[in-house]
Amino acid sequence: MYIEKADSTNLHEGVTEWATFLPQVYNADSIG
Amino acid sequence: MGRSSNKFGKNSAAELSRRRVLKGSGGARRRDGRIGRNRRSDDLGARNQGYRTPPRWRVLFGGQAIGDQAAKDLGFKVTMQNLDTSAAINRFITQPNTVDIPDLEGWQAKLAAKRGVIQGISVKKVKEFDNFLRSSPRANWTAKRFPGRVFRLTRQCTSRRRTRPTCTKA
Repeated sequence: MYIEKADSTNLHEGVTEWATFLPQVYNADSIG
Repeated sequence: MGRSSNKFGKNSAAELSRRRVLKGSGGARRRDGRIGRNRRSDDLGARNQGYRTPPRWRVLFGGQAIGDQAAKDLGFKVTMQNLDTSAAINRFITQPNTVDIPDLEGWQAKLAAKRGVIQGISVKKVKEFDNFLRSSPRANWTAKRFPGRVFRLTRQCTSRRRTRPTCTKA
């Protein structure tokens, strides 16, 4: 869920400062 | 004995107007025979007010209540739109300039990041970021049995099945 820089297009293995989305408590339709 | 009246203060015959019959048509009659909104429209109404409803539809929910709170926090108007999963990802990818803040699922975020249509979110600016819990099955298992020990997003993935989409490799 992380990318290296704010405008990176490659996902990063590990934690960085930049996340691609924020997880939610409620997701009705899928496991994504 | 007075005339029986309903909650509108009218008798039943008067309430059964042409307008009410038309509004109640199209399968909107409830199982108990009452005319009114059906369960699905009740769900939508509740969702639009920000309440949780049973997961009957594949709808990416973004109630206006969330938008109202965001508008309060950010200081400008936030308009919400609901899209189903496929319409949402199609729009995010093909018309990224028509959306300011997409409500992405995990797989959608990966796709959008690779296409270069989203910017990263600075986790330093998310107030409660460290309190988000991982949604992996293993984390749920641990949280149930050891309430004091919860795995947070910044920990290494604990799921044995690393191919599961819910197991975000952190």
